[in-house]
Amino acid sequence: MILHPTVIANLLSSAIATGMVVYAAYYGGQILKFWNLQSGDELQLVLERKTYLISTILSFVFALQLLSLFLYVFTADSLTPLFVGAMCAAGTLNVNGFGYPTLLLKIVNFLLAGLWLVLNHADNLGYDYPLIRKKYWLLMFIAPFIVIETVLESAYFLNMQADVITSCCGSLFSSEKANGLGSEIAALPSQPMMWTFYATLLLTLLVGSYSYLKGKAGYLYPVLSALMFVIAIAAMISFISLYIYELPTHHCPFCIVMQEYGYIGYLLYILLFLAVVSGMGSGVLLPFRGLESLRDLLPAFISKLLFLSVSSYLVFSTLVAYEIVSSNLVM
Amino acid sequence: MRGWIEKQRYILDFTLSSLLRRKVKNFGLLVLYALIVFILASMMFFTYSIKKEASLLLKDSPEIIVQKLMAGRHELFPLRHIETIKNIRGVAAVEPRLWGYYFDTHAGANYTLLVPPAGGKIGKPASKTAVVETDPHDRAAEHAGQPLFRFNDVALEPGTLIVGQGMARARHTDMGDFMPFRAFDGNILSFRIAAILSSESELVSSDLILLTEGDFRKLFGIDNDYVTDVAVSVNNPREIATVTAKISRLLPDSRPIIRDEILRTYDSIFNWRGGMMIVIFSAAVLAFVIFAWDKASGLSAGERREIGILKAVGWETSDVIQMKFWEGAAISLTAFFSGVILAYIHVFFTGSLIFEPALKGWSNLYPHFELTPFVSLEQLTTLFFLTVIPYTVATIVPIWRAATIDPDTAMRHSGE
Amino acid sequence: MIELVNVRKIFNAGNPSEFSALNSVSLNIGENKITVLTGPSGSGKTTLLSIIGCMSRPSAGRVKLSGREITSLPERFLTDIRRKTFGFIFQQPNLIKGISVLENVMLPAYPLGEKRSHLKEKAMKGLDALNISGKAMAKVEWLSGGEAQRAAIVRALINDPSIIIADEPTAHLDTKLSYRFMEIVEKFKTEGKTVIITSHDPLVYQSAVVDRVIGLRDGKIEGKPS
Repeated sequence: MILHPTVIANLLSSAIATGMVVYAAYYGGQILKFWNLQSGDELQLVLERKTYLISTILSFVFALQLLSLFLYVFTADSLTPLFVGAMCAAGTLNVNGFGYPTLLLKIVNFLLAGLWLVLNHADNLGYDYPLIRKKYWLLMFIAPFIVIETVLESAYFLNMQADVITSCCGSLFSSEKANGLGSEIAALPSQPMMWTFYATLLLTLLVGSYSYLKGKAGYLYPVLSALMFVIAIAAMISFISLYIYELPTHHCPFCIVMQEYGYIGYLLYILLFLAVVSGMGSGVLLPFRGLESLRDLLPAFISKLLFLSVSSYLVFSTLVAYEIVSSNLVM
Repeated sequence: MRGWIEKQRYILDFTLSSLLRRKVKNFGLLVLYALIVFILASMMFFTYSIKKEASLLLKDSPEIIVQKLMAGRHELFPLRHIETIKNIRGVAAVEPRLWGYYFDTHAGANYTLLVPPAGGKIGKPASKTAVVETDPHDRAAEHAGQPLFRFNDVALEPGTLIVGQGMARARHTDMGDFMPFRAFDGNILSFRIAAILSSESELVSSDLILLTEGDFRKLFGIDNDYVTDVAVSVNNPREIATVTAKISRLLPDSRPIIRDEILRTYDSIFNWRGGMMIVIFSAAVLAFVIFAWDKASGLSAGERREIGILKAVGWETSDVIQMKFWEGAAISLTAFFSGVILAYIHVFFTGSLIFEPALKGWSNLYPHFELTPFVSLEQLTTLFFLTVIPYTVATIVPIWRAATIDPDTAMRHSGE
Repeated sequence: MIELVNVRKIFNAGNPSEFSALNSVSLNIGENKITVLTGPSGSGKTTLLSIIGCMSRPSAGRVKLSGREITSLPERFLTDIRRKTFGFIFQQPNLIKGISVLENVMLPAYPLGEKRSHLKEKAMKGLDALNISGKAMAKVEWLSGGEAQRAAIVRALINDPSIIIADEPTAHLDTKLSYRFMEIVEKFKTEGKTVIITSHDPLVYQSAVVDRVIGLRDGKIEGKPS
């Protein structure tokens, strides 16, 4: 293991997130078991109060999840000098088999926590806790993922072995495994990727704006927004990053969050996350439009989510377009 | 949306005024919180900038150093091997180096003795030496601003020394003084101190003594056919690995060390120190978290009454949670920033008065030097995770407890 | 306007210390009427008042406000109803120390996020109506007992509630101030508000302005409502 302050911060934050979510899930379980809105029993009053605790905890975990996602990439980047062949975070994450799965799970958990908060907000709109059971089943579903994430992340950091000179021998890591780490991420060919990206983006924005303006939310947009998220990340690797780095071969989705590129990556990724959470959130809520207590309130919330999602994608694409136009790289 | 912002403003206003009303109670917490941030931040700033300093200094050191091994131990390097290395394609230059350690019983310290490279004056970019020098064209290095030694054009003549600051301090010597050394055969050799190295970048040069090749060989009895090791520079950095592999194939008894490996080792040593300090310090953080938990759960009768009133007049549980959130944010930000600013002053302006020995200390001659301020977003984020996040976690449940006080307590209290 | 059907409130249910503060209370409180709840301490007055005022939920039974069932509403909805419908005056002024009278008066409106200038104007008007606008910027510690209560009344009115709830409002007032308080109550009635008061002060329940007196004992309504 590498005893590095930032590594400790990472492990601490995932331990905290796990602890909080397991704690929340425990009370979530009690709510699922004993919830009875018609009763005025003290138990019911206590459970209703616990809902405040659980939503506070989940909001905290959601924020923590976002911060720790960036911290994780940051850490991977700052550990780069310790590993032969690693040029940036991409290489460090490859040091062992747990790096990328942890990253993936971090993103998934962030999205799940975001969807939970969307559901929670909708539930709070209704006067009879209309989504309470769904909400806590979702929490039960999320909890194991957060636990697995922590396990993977610990495995990742604990299994790291820095390539360091040992006293007995001048090691030759460098020549032995000059190409061992695979610092470059395999990128999709840029031309077709570019067209896919633009086409999906256009479609997403059109469908989103149509749904929003006409007030007709459907399942198409949520699906498109999720697809768009995946394609945008792929596009980031395949060609957007090249324009930002102004290097025709550096396909890396991580370096753009670094200082050298004015932290532009944070903005891009936060916009993407915002867009996908609100976009998918609007879809998650669709089946509940018919519920008695939500009938009047849900459409307005869904349309707010749509607006948020579409405008995030719009700002994202404007930024990307700006980066491409102002780049010195010509492809 | 505007209503929401207005509401947050109201709540924030109220929170700040209620914080100020409880100055005494919050002050203790704030001081302790800031102290924790201060200590952690000082440690991090310190180790990170030393690491940075070391890597800047090593940046211009030779790409490869080749040593000879004998039975697994470092041995003198025979000069005849130099030709073998020179003939490897891609090698730009091979520089023999003479250096060693001398234990001074008076000061109880180990000195590093070094023969400056043949070029004479140090500072020429062409001469790559064991020790670092600045390349005048390298802006990063210039920014670090530390040529390793600068001896005001004093020529190093046989019988003279140029010594580092730490050494001069330890021995209370100055220019012109004589310093006796016990040679390998028991004879006493006396050298005159011709100059003292500049104080910049003492980190590496503190215990350094420069002397001529002849004196060095006389002192340690090293044959003219041998040197300590050789520094190899390579034309194309991409070929370093190949050249290294060739060297170890042609000279199986040699050990080539690549600069990046030294850097990496430095890095992990400093990381380890920083991490170790945090592990040791985690007990203090934990104590603080427990204190914060206790402070947050132990609401005074006045505070309970206040929350009761708020809830009675129409504040909702989540409004009170928001109020407490703003309260936590105000306390955390104040403590975090004052701790960070104080740590910055402590590390970069007062030279880490408090724990310099603990973090630096590897010899009696520890260097006095000013670190170049270096703070990155990564450090601040890490600090945030190690202080603010635990604090926030510790207060969530107490906050929720406080916020769920029954609204009718206001009536119950008056009912007595 | 407010209808209670078989309302029960049990504390510490399931424990040996279980006791029921209210036993099957059914009650109908009329609009624009002044109703007084009397009874010895421990008779369940305050519990009943807190259920009427949406501060707590009954263990069983139904509560209807203007025909709307509010028994099992989540707290955030109850609170929302409470702050828009009810104004509370407590036995003690219950003002928050250390901040000004004006801020105290504005407190109930904070979560509504109203425009600040507008809210301030409203608060000043209310203070003016009870002749304490001169003390708006004063800290509450500096107020006399009567002034503090008037400030508390202004606070109760800030969100323009239709129902005023007062818990033992005259307990800490001298006779003169108590009469002054009843005058204010009368004014509420002329403005079309409903007033519910708990009190065992004869000055209150024997007052001419009171429309109805309900006696409580051991968590039950005594005799026939007058």
